[in-house]
Amino acid sequence: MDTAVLTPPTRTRSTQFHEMRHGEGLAPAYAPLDQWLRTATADRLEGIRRASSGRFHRRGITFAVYGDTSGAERLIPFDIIPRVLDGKEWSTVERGCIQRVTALNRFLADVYGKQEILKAGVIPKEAVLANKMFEKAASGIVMPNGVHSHISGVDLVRVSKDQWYVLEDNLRTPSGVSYMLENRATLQRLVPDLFRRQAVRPVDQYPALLLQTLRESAPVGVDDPTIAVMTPGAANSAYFEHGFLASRMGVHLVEGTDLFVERDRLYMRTLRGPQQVHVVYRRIDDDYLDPTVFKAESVLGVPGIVGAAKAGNVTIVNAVGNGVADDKATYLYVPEMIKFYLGEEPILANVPTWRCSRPEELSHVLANLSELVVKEVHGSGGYGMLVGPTSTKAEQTAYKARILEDPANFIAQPTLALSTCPTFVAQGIAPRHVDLRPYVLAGKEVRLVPGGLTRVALKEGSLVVNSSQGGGTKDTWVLEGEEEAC
Amino acid sequence: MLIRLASNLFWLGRYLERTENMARLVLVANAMTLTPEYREVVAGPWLDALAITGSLGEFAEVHALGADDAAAWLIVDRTHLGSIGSCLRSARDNARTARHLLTDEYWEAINGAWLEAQTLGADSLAERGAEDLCAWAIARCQQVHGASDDLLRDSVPRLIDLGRAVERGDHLARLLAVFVRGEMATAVEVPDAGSAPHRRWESLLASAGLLETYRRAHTAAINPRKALHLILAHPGSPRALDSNIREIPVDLAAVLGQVPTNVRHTVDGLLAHLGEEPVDALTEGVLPSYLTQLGVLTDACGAAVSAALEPTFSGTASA
Repeated sequence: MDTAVLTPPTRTRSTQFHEMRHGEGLAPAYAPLDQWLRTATADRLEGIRRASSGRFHRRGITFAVYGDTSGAERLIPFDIIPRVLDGKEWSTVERGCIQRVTALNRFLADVYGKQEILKAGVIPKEAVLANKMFEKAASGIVMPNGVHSHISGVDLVRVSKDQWYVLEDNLRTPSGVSYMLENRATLQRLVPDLFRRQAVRPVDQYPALLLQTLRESAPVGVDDPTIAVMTPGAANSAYFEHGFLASRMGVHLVEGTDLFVERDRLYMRTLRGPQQVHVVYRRIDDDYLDPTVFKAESVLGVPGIVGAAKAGNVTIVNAVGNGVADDKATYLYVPEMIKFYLGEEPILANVPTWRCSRPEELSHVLANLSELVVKEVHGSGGYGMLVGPTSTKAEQTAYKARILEDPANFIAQPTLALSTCPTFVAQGIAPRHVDLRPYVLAGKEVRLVPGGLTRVALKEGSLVVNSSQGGGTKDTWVLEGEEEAC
Repeated sequence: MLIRLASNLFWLGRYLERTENMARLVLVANAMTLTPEYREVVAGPWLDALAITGSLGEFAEVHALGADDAAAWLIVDRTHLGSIGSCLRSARDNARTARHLLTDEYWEAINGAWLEAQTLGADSLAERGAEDLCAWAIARCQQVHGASDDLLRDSVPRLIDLGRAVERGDHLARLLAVFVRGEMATAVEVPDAGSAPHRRWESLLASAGLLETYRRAHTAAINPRKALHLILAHPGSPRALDSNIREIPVDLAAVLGQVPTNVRHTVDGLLAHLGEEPVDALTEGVLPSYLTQLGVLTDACGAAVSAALEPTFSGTASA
């Protein structure tokens, strides 16, 4: 799974927003769950937790750890207490995600096309054209419906009842949606009575909507496309998800070695000969996709596939070159994109960010290192960052030297008091920090299922939801009805 | 069907069958060591089992020949790629790669077996004994086969069945080549019930998974001619070599749309050899050479099938 590290809070525990209990007391959306939790014994909860773990193992929702020779496979911990959002809360997230992904797709089509946003000076040219994630090979690929990011994961954090922040956009190969679906299926099987207490909006239509999105993305003139999910292979940590999605959609699951390009057309090697493929939902990075365009040594990709896309004979989903729109440098400009392309105010805010490339902002950052989170512009997965409040003086001094060496490579953000949700841990039920990744599908229209993947930092006080560092996942409920639960 | 996934499904079938065959073999070897004729020479049945699996040399490099070591090697040793645990893992890994083509029930049957196998080690062998672990492995394989009932009748079950048929043919040929020797290769008379020769014929049938079938088809007393016929060519026996070889072109035709010439050629050669009446070979005292040739022909047949599942494209692709 992709990694994300949440910035830690500097506020006291009492100011952290607890999604279940805040303001005058219990959030109405959580009332039935609260009632259930009061009657459930610790033994019952532990029994459900064990059963869920067994189910995940049995269904093979596991991944092999690279370098582990024991043969054992691991699973990402599943917390049995769902996160609940009422219709109003979800409506904000849904509208905000649709708005944001629409603008980001307009931006991608623009920067690989006429570059109007650069000509208008809304975003400095060098911020895009000199960005190493700007992929010249993507210019000239005309995407059906003008969509470059068909599947987007928008990572959100919440700090108060009405305040969500977008932590980052994932427009390349966002993963984790199978956990959204399996978490729901697991909870429905193990605790059906919970679902009889409240009307929870379903999410299991996601594969059908994904298939619809992929079909809508077929090259012009192809009415009944052959679709394949492309995986790096069974050793990949997300292989379960790749097979799961292929199976639920009823489409092929291919590896690079199964494919070849001839006369700018993409084919699969089948027992009965070559079969043309029209839409590839690839789950490998650009770097490995086509050795004739990107890394020449890649054995995972398909020579010529980018050429086939340029010729309009295959749609690569998500499109190549999307990295220019979801890195930290471009993130800063998304609110301007929304205004420029859509003429709207952003529904979901960015985390306030200081750019070290600007002298006055650099001074502020350097003067407040102990309170800020500083990140590399092109970094990911929480690597190479300074978490001010938990860092030592020596670490701050060393990091300051790194910033001064290349200020343009760093941004800084305030620490946030992230929301918490009740979570079943060894000590019982306790608040733990969460984020949320809804999955946004863009074909002829932009849509998402009501829910997403909630990641939870299982360790007390931790803000790291990364599965390799003690993070887990939760089922995310969106209740029926447009209004706030009461 | 993608060529790569066809290979995964074929090998899924082979490894499942190999798991089950190995379990039967160990069950029989273990039981034989408890009989009077082997009480003093317990190594004998284990030597046979190791020879049949083709791992005698590899085993001898790391172990002295003791019953416990041999059982551990054949059942739980993860460094031995032919152990029950390793075969189950290989079957499961192939199934995992092709997971999206299988039903949830089929996948969970094989993945569940592997999860249980993961917990097995030398300790569990000491606690539960070889017989219990082998019975468990056979039951789990049978459960997986049962789950195939609900697979869509397309290339997927055909390829799994093809793998099983090829593996079963290979196993039977090896089993016969090692097991049938000395007095057994020439004696045409029905041995006395309870005698060592009778027990050896029973062991052969049990290793082939055909002892109960024999009793139903014939009687409890083992007639060597009938036993050989049951293993090689009895028309009603799903485990007979003949019926498995006949299944190969049928499965391949369903998967490929045709039977490649080389497969047709090797299958015909094998069937012709079986048609030469092995029982006559027994009577005439030439059974060992007959069985050696049988091994050569099953090897060739297996190789032809593997080649047929890895076609190379010639000419240009057509949309």
